[in-house]
Amino acid sequence: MATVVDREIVLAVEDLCVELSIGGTWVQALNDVSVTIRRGEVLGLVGESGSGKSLTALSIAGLLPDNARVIAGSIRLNGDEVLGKSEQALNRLRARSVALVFQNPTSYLNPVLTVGDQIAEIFELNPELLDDGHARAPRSRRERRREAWRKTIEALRLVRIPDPAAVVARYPFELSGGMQQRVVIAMALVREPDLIIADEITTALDVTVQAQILSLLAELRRSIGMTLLLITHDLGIVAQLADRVAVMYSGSVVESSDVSSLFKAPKHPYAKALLETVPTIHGDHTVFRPIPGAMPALTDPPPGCRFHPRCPDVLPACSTVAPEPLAVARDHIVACHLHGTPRR
Amino acid sequence: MSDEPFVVVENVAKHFPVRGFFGRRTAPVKAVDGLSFQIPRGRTFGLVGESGCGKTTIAMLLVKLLAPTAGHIRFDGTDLAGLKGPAIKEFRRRVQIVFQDPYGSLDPRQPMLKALIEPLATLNVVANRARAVDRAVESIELVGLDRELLKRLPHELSGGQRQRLVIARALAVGPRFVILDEPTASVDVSIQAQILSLLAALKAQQELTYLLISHNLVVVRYMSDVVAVMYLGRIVEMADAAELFTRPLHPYSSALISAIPIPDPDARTITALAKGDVPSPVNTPAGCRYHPRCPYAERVCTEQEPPLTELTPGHHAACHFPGIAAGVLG
Amino acid sequence: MRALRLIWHSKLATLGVVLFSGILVAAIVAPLVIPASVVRDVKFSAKLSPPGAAHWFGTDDFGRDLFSMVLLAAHLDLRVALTVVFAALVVGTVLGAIAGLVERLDEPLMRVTDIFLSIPSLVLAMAIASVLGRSLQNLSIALIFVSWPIYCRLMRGQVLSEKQKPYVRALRTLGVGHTRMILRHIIPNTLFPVVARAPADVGLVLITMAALSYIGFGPGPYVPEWGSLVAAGQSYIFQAPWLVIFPGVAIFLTSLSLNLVGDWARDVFDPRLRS
Repeated sequence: MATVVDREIVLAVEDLCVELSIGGTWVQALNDVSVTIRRGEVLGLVGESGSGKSLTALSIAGLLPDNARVIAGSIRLNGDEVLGKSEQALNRLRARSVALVFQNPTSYLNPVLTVGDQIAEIFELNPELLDDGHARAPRSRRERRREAWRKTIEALRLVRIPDPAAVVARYPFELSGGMQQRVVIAMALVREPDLIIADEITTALDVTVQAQILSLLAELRRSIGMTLLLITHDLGIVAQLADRVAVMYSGSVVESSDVSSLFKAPKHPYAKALLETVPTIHGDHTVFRPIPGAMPALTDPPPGCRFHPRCPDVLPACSTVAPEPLAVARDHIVACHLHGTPRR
Repeated sequence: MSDEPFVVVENVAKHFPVRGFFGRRTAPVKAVDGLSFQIPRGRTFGLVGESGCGKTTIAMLLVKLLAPTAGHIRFDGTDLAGLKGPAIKEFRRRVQIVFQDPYGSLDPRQPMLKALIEPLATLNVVANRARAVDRAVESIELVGLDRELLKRLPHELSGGQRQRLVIARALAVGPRFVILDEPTASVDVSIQAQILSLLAALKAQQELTYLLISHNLVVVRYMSDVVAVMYLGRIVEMADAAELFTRPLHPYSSALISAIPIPDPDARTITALAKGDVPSPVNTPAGCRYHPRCPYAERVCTEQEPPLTELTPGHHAACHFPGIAAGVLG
Repeated sequence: MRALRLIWHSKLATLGVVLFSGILVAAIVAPLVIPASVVRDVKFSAKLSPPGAAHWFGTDDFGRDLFSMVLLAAHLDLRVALTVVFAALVVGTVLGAIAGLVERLDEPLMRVTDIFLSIPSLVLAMAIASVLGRSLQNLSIALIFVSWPIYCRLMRGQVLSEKQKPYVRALRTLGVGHTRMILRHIIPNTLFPVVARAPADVGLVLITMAALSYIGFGPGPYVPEWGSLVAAGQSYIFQAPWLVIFPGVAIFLTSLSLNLVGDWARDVFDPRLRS
């Protein structure tokens, strides 16, 4: 398998710190979060609710809500710093460089426009998408419209929507959840973005439909080589689709590595424990082990390592010093005192 | 005391009338259509299916929140339809349900203690308030919650705590049969594991019988003795849990099983065995209800509905070509 | 108390509460300190004097002290407005609850409500007042008829949506019967958002009352009421603008503070904000 490591870096998030305003006070929600994604790579960002994974995605897209603020760090997309951009620049960014696909497709589709109109609108707003090395780029309005329409149907076919010519005239409410999600994915793909962020895109779908969407993503990954930030709580999805994984806990990345290393030899106790909570079928019986306790509230985090009250391998240093992320192997980073000397 | 199984569902149907424009009666929604199964005392029966299959409807029928359009439901020998007055209260003491969405199942104004005490009063479980408080504390501790939390309101609790609370509330009245409707759907993966362990421990401790409803096959497999797969109001396959997962006979069961993403990067096998979308019960297809989604459908599937037949002892399936999907699963 | 903390949180709410308390105190104190005879104290020598040391708000065309009149009017206006809203609230929420709970009565009650709502409030009040006769009591009755429908609608909507909530279903399986469900669960959860509307409504009733007085359906020149004061003063608007300004500002401030209090009340009664 060709090493992804040597390809160019599309997204570089470095030491991102974000605060949230909860009940009037600002609390640390993201602590020195660092992730990198290279071209053509799928990075799985795994964590439970409250771990900060969605907040990270929103930060990258410049969509942080009013009660959140970035206090440190940098987010570079194709070398271009995202933080500090004006709203206008961010809009341009979201139009072409970063495409987002979220959990509930119904909320992201305009209910009064047909599916075809919504996708064609993207071409209308970004006419450069229509010139793709044609001998003669479409000039007149009618030619552009025709080309946009053609590409729209092509996009629907790419996401395996049956009978695209008919679906193009449908309104979102006439489509099922799975179909709607495919449309949103199509809308993301036609932009030819540098990065696609998919946040829990199958959580709201039935399991057989989820399988269809996951299989579609696997296929797209093979055929067009998407650069994808896949956010999910489901370790199974990560195992099936991701090249690399970053595990988040209470606002920090606790471990990041290639997917095989994480599943075969996880280093961070939380990553280990998380893998063990997934009930897996081994022959005749099912095994799993729960993690005692619960993720701490952002307003009252434990001192030192945030996981230490629940950690089975806790050391004395864990309750005083927060561990720094250290590389334990090539491209394998862990933030844990068990795998690195704590600094005083 | 009859020697009939504890819970008997016999040919139950539940149709909801749909009114079209100007009050015209159109075809009814057949949420449940000819459902039959039995649950012996002390066992866990798992019911699996996706949205629209009727699993929530059957749960509501079993706790007498709805009345069946046809068929019978018997609990410990007594038909639910015949229950009147104080007998209903007795029934409610013995059959409880833990609904999906614990947050929605709680009155947002009621502190936990009140929420626990109320059913003890309305179902005459205890003689006086003091006993009720004792029992409430007992139930809280049984599910692993601190009694300190008793004065909190629902929104002041975490998802995991709320889930435990509604379990405690159901158990406080002392039921023998508990229906669990998606007990882990609204909690995180790590909490899910805690809740499942808790439920398993409680079952053993309190000698309960469970009906577990879930779309999560791994959860169902872990907890259940017998599993039934539902599709559009009917059971399409029913067998012992281990048997169903290793030798599924109905293509839909295979589709459900293979749809679960396996947390093993070396086993990249996402197979989508079911085509198209999950149907709604408004327009059930002719012939086999699953045929529009089935990759193996033949002509007979579009014309005749296959009956649920016992193909090997204890293993029932409703398919014209049972076992046809067997080769796909590893 | 948490409620107080919530007020502090919002400066506008604080302003509203402080302002309204001031007006309320003035209204309560007024009839105790100011003799009722002020209204009949015609002193033509002092007529239409501008605001000054002797008469803080000036005098009207009968030489009566405007300050005293405005304060007495505060007492009257608030008393009437509060009574009207309270009565409308009771009638409206009871009927609304019935409409929401008893399916058979829903349609008829809603049609009746619709009839009331379809007539502009001022016109309806005028019609009722003219039929009943010109008095303070009849004015109040007219205003109650105008105000109850909105509470009825609101309550019915709340009750209907509350009935569908999952906890209602869950509580039924726990043996909670119909009566208990309504009294202990549905009503408490629906009542407060509806009641929280009341303070703002008092402001509205006040304005309606003033408007009615202004166009002549009020209680008459010997009963101090803000609206009639404005009406009486409008003929002198260029010579003695204070006659219109002071009562007008009184109406405005009272209504404003009540609206702010209403916003605060809505927040206070939401259990989710209690922590």
